Amino acid sequence: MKYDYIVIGAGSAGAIIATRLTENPSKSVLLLEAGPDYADLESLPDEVRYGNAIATSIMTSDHNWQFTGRATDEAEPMLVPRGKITGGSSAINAQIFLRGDPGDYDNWAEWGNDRWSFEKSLPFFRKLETDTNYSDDFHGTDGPIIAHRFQPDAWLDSSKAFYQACLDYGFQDTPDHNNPDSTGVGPLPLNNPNGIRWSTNLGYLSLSRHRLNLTMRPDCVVHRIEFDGNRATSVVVESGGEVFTVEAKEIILSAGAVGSPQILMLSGVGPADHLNEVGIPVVKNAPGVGQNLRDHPLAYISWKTKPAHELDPNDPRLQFALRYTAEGSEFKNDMIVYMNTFATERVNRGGNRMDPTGIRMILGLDLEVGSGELKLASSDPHAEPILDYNYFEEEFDLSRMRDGVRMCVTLGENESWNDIIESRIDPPDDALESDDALTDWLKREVTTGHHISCTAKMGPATDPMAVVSQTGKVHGLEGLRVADASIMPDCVRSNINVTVMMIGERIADMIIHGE
Amino acid sequence: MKYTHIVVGAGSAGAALATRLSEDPERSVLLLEAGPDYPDLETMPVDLKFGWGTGADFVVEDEHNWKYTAKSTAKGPTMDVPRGKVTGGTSAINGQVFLRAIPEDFEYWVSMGNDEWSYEQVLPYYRKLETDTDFSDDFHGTEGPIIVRRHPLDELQPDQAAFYNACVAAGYAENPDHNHPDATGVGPYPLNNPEGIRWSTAVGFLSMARHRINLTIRPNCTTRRVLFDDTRATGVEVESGGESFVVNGDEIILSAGPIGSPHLLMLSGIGPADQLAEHGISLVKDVPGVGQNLRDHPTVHVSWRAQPDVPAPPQEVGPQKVALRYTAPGSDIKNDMIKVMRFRKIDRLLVMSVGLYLALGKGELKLQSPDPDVQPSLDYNYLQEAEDRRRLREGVRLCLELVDMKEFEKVVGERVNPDDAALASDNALDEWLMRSVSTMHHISCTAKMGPDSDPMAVVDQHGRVKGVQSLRVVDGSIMPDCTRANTNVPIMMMAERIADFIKAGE
Repeated sequence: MKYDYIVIGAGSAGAIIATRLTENPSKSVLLLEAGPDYADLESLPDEVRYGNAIATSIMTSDHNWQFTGRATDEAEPMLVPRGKITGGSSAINAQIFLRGDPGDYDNWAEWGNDRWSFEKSLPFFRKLETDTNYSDDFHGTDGPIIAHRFQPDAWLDSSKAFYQACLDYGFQDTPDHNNPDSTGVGPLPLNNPNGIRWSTNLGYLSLSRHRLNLTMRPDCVVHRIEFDGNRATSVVVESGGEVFTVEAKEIILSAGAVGSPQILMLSGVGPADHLNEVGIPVVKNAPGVGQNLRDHPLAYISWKTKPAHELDPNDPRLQFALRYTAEGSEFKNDMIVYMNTFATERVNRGGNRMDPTGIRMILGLDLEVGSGELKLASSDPHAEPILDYNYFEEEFDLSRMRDGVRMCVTLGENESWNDIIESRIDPPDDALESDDALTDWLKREVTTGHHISCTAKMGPATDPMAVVSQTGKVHGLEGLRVADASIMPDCVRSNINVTVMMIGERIADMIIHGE
Repeated sequence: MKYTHIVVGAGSAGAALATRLSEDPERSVLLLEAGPDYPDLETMPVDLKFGWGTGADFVVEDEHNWKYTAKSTAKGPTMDVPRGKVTGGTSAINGQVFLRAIPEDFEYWVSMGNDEWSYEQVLPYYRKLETDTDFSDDFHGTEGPIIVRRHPLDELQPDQAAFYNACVAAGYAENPDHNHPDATGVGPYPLNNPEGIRWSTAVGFLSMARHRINLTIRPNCTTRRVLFDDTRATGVEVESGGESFVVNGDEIILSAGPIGSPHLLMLSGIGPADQLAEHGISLVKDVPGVGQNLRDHPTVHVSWRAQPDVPAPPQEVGPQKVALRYTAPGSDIKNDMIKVMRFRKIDRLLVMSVGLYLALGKGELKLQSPDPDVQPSLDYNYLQEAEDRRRLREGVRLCLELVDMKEFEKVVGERVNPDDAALASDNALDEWLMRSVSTMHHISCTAKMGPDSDPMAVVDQHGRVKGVQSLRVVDGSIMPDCTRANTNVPIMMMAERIADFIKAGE
């Protein structure tokens, strides 16, 4: 039996592609997912269903690949959670429903991907969302993913204090972060109506899972793709301890920015010298696979709160964000600060999601200059790939983060915090004494923003590091696409889930139209 | 996309068949089930998982049930006919009696022109499907998917012990293994409920197969009809989530049960031409036998109040089901009768059921409407044959004789049913039988197999529907006559056997 399409990975992109392709009843799709499937809200485990937990909470959950990565030489090994469940990372994430800056997509277009300008991407941003607060040319009203912003009556005290401190600092009031011109401080758009994490499983697969032309197979780990010459023909997949081969006319890799380059390399598509090194026969030398690893490095600026300030673990933990442009930067909105109203110690340092340490601001570098790389540790599909995030190799990345930390410290000194903050915990005063001291602190403390991307970037065939064309087709091969965060040429200046969903919608549309 | 096999119905036959066919990775199997699927014991609802209930208990309340209704006799009330609507089919809701048909049943099938179904030929498939935890010899399997056990005699509850001892005292053979080919007499039923778990084909078979990428299990999918290109079956029309889909297969296999399979055949244009015409269904092939020859095991329940100090069986023990199989006096049909007793907790009645394991009479299934949601009419037409009435009358009287024996002295109190008036004469008892007779839940034979010379045969010995191509029926429908045994094991055996036919290209 031969499917029309096999989609590998039921995450932010794959669940969407499978749903859109099966709208045509004459097309058959096999959707493979390594993790389990929960067919409805009732059967969804609480940690997946309810979205008040933020990324650190699911670091050790069962629905998580539990990768580790290198941040810098000075930092401890970094936990890298990625969703291993239908819905993928959209089923375990912080539900921040933020679009990138229009300039991100326009840059992609400028680099030879003219189909991906903001203007051309906008219909797909609109298609995927139901924004319950705004309905206009920029927002969708009948898409599968439901987004909202907390209204003033639901703002927690520390959200309000943060908002006021940012306004006092001179930042613009931004009621809608998804407006293309937005900058400044405002409530985050969140895809968690009624506290429920509205993953692509809930939003999309619930529309399609009854279709007889969609076969969803959870608990299936893909080993590799097989080729006949340069045409991808089948997928080798492990299920229940047995290995099966299943054929398709076209194979779409949506295994994420870790899984997709990993599977490409396991299948012989990657840098030839590296494949030789791990003993994988080369099908296609693609030097860009695994390179150009991008993320948003984070630093936590945290405070102990006064005893009278209530910290309820069941309250929302992220309501507000500040997006701003670093001083001296030419990249608009290259910095972000999330107000985390219930902070906990990191899991790998003994933290627990229910025990608060106070509050914190999460400072993120939303457009790195530096990049890292992903490589195979072994030809064993069960071996975790090596993730080297390689943060802060570029001085400009460091200087923007240092300035950002100092700004957050200043924000925390605003009188709006008088009833809340008792004392600053991090960074300690000595780390603020000099640039060198702060650099040392940042290199030790930096961690991932969970936005690994760009590891199989799209670009014209003239770019030797481009892995896929702007339709997601792997250069030099037939019958194989990549459609997920891997193909972003550079990271977007926002949390990436919405952009990855847009990529899913966009590439599904290209496939449907024979592009 | 086209599957090599589409199996309609994940019941006693379909789940086994899909499992065996998908052992070959070159075959792709779509298994369609109208009910829900529970992929493991942890997610399975308790009423399915544990075999404490008996046939009578799930008649009304179980949601995993097609809830058909039927006519028993002209005088009987409308009869509930539960059939499983869940992966495992009726094997997921049944009484777990793991009884084989006897060699004489197969002699009879062979005599009707089905020479591939002799006892010698089916024995390997009986062995293949079971793990008998009590007996291991030439007649029993030790590594099959369905696990079987019997309650040891020394663990019997007082009511079951009384029944057993009374039968022995009455001269019936002690029968430690009802599945021995020569077995007759009294002994504990073999039960497929290890540790109380109802070991359905979903648990036994699908658990071995559901990980296979070449097996696609689709629960909550109602098959509407088989689609044909001229007389070749090409696919099925299926309703899922309120939408209608067409799926294609090289071969379509109906395992929807003795109600569902003939119903689907008729909805698809295969059946008695006059019936199809009456409901405006375009004829694909006039097959007069579809829905005819409806067989079952008719049964009546004789009941007494339990004496106050007789303990109700604890839930974890469940119904123990000591069974007496015997040949009715004056009958030349071996083991044509069955008696089994249970303690009905709800009203503390001891209920001795007596059934005809081989009735002479038969009923019919007819289409009522072209709407697939309207069940076919089921007329079981019990006890039309004088010999059926005679054997059942005598069976009732034998129940009374057994209970009069001293072994029952401390167990049984006042008789509730039938009352003395009903026992006053043959006519009075017949009257009571016609009002009381009900189903043992073994409807079968509604699309029987047989040679081409038999105009009422619907399928050949390999389950292939006559006169069309690429369509089989594999389930209790194709039995030529009912087995002298609860039908679940024979149906699983038939699926195992036909899976091998299919693999051999037959």
